[in-house]
Amino acid sequence: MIYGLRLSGRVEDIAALRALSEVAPALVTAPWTELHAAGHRESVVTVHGLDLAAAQQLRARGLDVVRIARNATGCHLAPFQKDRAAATWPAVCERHAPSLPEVVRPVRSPSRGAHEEACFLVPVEAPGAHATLERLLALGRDDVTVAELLLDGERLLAVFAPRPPMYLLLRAFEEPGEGVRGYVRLGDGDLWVAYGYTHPLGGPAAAALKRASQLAFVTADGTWLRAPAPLAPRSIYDAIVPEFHAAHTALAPAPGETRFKVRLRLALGPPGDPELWFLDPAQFLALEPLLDSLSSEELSRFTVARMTGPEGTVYLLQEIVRPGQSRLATRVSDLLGVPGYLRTPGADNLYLPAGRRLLPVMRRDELRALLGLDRARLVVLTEDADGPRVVTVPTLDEAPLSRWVDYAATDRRVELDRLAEESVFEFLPVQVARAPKPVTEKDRPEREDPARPPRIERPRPALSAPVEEEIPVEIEEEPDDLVALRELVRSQEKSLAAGGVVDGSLWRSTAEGKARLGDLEESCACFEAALFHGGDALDLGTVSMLASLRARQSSAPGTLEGMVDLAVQSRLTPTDAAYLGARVLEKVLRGETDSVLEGVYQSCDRVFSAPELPVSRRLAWLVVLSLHRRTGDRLGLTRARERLLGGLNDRGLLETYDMPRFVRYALALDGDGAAGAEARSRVDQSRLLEELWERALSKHVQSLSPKGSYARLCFALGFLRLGQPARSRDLVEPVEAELAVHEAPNQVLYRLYLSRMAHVATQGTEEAWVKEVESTLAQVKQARVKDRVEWLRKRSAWLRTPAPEDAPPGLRPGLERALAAAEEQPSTLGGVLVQTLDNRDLFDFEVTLAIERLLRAALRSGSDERIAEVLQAARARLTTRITILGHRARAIGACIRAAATLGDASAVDGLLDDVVLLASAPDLPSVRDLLAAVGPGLTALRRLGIVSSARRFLEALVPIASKGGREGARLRAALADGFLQLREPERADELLDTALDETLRGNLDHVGRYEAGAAVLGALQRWAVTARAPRAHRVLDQLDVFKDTFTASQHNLYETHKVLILERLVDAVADETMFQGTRVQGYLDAEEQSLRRRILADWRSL
Amino acid sequence: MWTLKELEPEIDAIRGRINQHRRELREYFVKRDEELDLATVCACAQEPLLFVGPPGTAKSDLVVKFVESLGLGQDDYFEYMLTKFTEPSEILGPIDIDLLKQGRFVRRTRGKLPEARVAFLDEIFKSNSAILNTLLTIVNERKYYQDGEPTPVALKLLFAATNDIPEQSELDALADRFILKIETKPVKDTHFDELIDAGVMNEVYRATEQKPWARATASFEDFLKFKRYLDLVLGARGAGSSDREGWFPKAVFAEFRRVVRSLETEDKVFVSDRKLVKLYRLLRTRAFLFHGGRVETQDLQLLAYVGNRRHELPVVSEKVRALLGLGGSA
Repeated sequence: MIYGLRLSGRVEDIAALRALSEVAPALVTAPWTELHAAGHRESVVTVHGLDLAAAQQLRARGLDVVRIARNATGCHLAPFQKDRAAATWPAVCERHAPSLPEVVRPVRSPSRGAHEEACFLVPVEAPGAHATLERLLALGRDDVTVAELLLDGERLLAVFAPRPPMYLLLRAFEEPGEGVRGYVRLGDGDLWVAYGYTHPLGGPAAAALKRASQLAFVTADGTWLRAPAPLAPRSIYDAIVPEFHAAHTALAPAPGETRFKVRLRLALGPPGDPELWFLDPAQFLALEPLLDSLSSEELSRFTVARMTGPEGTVYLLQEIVRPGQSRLATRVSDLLGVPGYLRTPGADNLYLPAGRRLLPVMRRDELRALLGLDRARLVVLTEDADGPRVVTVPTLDEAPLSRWVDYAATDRRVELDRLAEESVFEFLPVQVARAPKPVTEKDRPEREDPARPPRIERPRPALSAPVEEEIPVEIEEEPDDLVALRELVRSQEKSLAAGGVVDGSLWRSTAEGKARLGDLEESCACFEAALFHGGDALDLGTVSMLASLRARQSSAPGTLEGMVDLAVQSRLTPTDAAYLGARVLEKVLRGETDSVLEGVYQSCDRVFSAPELPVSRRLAWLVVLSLHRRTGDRLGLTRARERLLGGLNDRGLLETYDMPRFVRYALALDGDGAAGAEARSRVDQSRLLEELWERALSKHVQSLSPKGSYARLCFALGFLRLGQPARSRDLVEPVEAELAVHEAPNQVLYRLYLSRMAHVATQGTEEAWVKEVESTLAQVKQARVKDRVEWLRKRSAWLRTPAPEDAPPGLRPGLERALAAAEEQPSTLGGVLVQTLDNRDLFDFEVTLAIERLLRAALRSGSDERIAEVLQAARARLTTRITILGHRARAIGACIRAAATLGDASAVDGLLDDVVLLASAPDLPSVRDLLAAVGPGLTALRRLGIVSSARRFLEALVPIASKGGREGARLRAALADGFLQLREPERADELLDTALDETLRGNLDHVGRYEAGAAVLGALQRWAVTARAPRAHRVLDQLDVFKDTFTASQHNLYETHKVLILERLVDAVADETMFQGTRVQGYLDAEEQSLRRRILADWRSL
Repeated sequence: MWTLKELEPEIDAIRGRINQHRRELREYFVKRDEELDLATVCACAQEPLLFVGPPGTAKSDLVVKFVESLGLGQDDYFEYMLTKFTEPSEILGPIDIDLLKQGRFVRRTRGKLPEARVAFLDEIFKSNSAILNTLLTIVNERKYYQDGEPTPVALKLLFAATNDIPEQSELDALADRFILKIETKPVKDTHFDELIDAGVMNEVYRATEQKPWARATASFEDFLKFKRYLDLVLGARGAGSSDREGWFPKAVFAEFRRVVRSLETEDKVFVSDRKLVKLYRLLRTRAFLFHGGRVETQDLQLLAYVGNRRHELPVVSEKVRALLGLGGSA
């Protein structure tokens, strides 16, 4: 009897065959026979070893075991299990296989999803081979590999495709006629089963294949195609021979040197400041106003060469460009209105018109040959209506411009005025052959005098030499009426400089007097004040006079077209802006209007409401007021008012534009009578600095010592600030001479200090300084040297540049977006602040930053309502929402600033109470934090003049300062400043001296000692020079107290704290903003309040 | 309505006119053959078509010229640019106040979408949810609600345009209603000269108020008849016999199935059951329009436009052409 296992041809067979493998593992590798009837899915597999016992065992496992009764062609199947059906197959096929896995047919796979890898087997000659490769390449599948196999003499192409395209698998499955068969890999082995099927014994089969180092493709009918493994696959590209059916044309190189003529032309180039000008004699003489305003250092940057050519005498003016120095080119070009020329990169002696470049770009050698650059000292390409012109300068005999200037010196105002008048008489007899009338002079009647001196004389201040000896001209008697007028104007100046003068007639009278005396700028400033204080209705006469004076100062044509040109310019010079304002006022008052003027008016509304316009705020307001009054546009006026007030809140009034020069002078020199003059005089500052230097020289300056060099550099900068460049040079000369013998870090630092001096002398911008520092540091290659340099540079108030770490800490993106949006939309400021304060997830520092930014934005908006709204929102939650006291102090400081701007005394008072509460809290914030609130508090009190509150505030903080420590000294210094402003000098002296004693006693740690010393010296700047002197001497004498243990000191490079204290000492004695004293600020504050009141009143009246 | 008997004698002429119309329109555009062919097929099958592409790629111009060339009356065409602030009354018409006083919520639809036979909705995905729901009903069921009662719309052809297909689930339903979506690309890089020439001529036509494309070579009625004819033919098979057997060769049908399957499994392009059926009809329409007979492999290139998402459109287009051996996109 033969026993067999009936298989259904479905996935259920998988479990049955696995059970068989478990029950009779020895049978798996025995030779098996399959009986299969055509048209039946079922089949029976049998093996010799499957006896009755094994069959019963299998039946017990639920397998469909059958007894096979064979006849001639077919067989009968009798199942062991009763519930299975018997079957009779009239005709069967037998298939023998060496093992069970090979005799079993694959079963249909339930899913036809994606597969990891497939192999397409296709006869090489079949059409499907070519199509399959082509489709794979069309799909970009160049990761497939191919191999070739031999089957019964037929060559088969095996295409192995990871992540096989579904389309190809389906096509192979559905289109058998193409000859392509798709197989997918089972697991990781070498068994490939026809796509759409799976093998019930895939695992054992793959293992067997691996042992035999073979791979096999199992067809759907169970046929195994074997091949040795692994195959050596090739890239798909190795299996194709690409063809490209196209006509071919070959090009061959041909000898030849065809040259084309290309015309060079001047085209628009990058903007740049010119450095060379061609001037005719008249233009050269017209440089006079520029020379008046140049310092000697600036003057030294110009050279002049006088040449002759076909068009007569030509002056070649050249500015020597130095890295890091601000350029003077714009001033020259603006003054003369002539085009300048700029050196071309890559060709040192070729100059092109500024803002132009040569096109097309040529090789340097070709350019040099074409323009003859090698044969000339200078080649300048000019252009005019006739086109470009090459001007060649073979030789150049240049001389400093200063040789063309004679100076007259005095430091007395009276003598200066007299000298100015005298100079007119002195110059009159000189006859000069004038060149044709300068282009830029055509609109200036005062320049029509043909008698111009060939050499330009100008007054220059000097310090200590006797005045009479230094004036090189003989002073003649003034006419009586002029003397009287001068006396009158001086007395009026005194009254006006006292501040608070709202009498328009006095301003006007002074303006007229100054106009007669030829002081146009001051006259204009007085006329503007006269208009401002002259009541609601502007006086046409005053406006006309102002306009005519401004016209004489401005280079703009006095025509309507000239006004249009100015009104549409993106940046106006102060002179042009003031002229435009006066002219617009005049036109509006005269009631002039036409379409062009309307355009000018509209443009001027925008121009004059811009906070950064360089004119006095009085004039700006009068212009926008008159423009909007003309049309009755209250909304427009509101917007202009908010912009102007926003600017005021942001920057306040500016000494340069909002204070007549004589007031500045009077406040600086006259002050509180003789004492004030002494307090603020530059001479006395110079004297004190000189004394200190003498003492430093004897005590701290030794040859070749770094300490001495730093002292020299610090004091030199002080002398430079006080207008003594020669003295400054004396001090630094030894440093420059012995530069090479110093350590590398010190050399770099000395150079930085020298650069800083040049920067101060030229009044360079912050950007220029940053570039200067960067270029100096870029030359330092060694990291160690750079570290030493940076250590001091970053701590030095003079050398440091704004570092990224100075930027405020980053806010979370959501908050940042909300704040940025609110800053754009001032109406939402209050709401956003309330939301921010309500958000409990935010950290204290974020809330603080939000309050500061939103208050700043409110101040910029210029709307009192907006400021009040934001301030109220901030104050309401300040103490409860911000728990970290340091942050709260900063927020209070911001609120105080805003409240002071609003003039809200009660709010300021309340906030000061908050500061006092803060200071008396058990977990007191650091003094650094406390000062963030105290500083604005003191400023606000000064502004509002609330003396009682101020005193209470300061008194409350005194006990805290008395607690001592390094921070106590700093707070004392700040409080001393406050008491000084309250005009309680004794109290201030006491506090300051205590702080100084404490500092110099040496009990504090090194850093604390330095910080306290710096704070004391910082406060000392507000004291009179006489009061500064003893304290400055004390600090200098005990300079050694300011020790440190930093590496730089230990390596004898420099002593950080000593250098920094020297800087502070020089700052205290030679203050950089000499004229920006308390009285000046007081005057500006009073003016600002007056302006605010006026703006409010005007706005309400419309 | 026309019967099969009425239409059979003239259907070849209609087909010829529509094809002529399609070819004539091409001369007013630069490299827009693909878009015009697709618009014509969609017009014949009365299926909506979505143009997807950046501004300035002739989306609106294609639709406007196509519609003008049909010689429709003013009230038959409705065009609107949708924004998130567009209200239903701008699309469906304002509420009739008189009837509202009588307690009836009836819209005055004259000149609005419900009465238009052809519509072009620009920036369709920028509309708000109220508009989207209304459009869904109109596109899918060709009806809208008047005083609570479903009312059929006259709409036959719907064209829409968008710069992008937003990836928002609430817009999926509307996007799925557009069985075919075509990406319009700038042609300036490849056809600079022709573009300038054609653009200048277009400006001239506009300035002189000429519309030479409005020759009415094929009328709107031709398109309606074409659709009617195909409907009748599709339903004309007897029991036990399907349209597929007659008009869709097995090999091509298998190719159709393979391509769809491939897009679904490998590119995750969702093809709903509804979409599959509509694709079948569109393939039949194209085959009959272009060569008057059974579907051929080249007709399957319609599948290049079945992508749903913005990023799918170019991928699907390239892939379908590669699988069909038709080369890259035009």
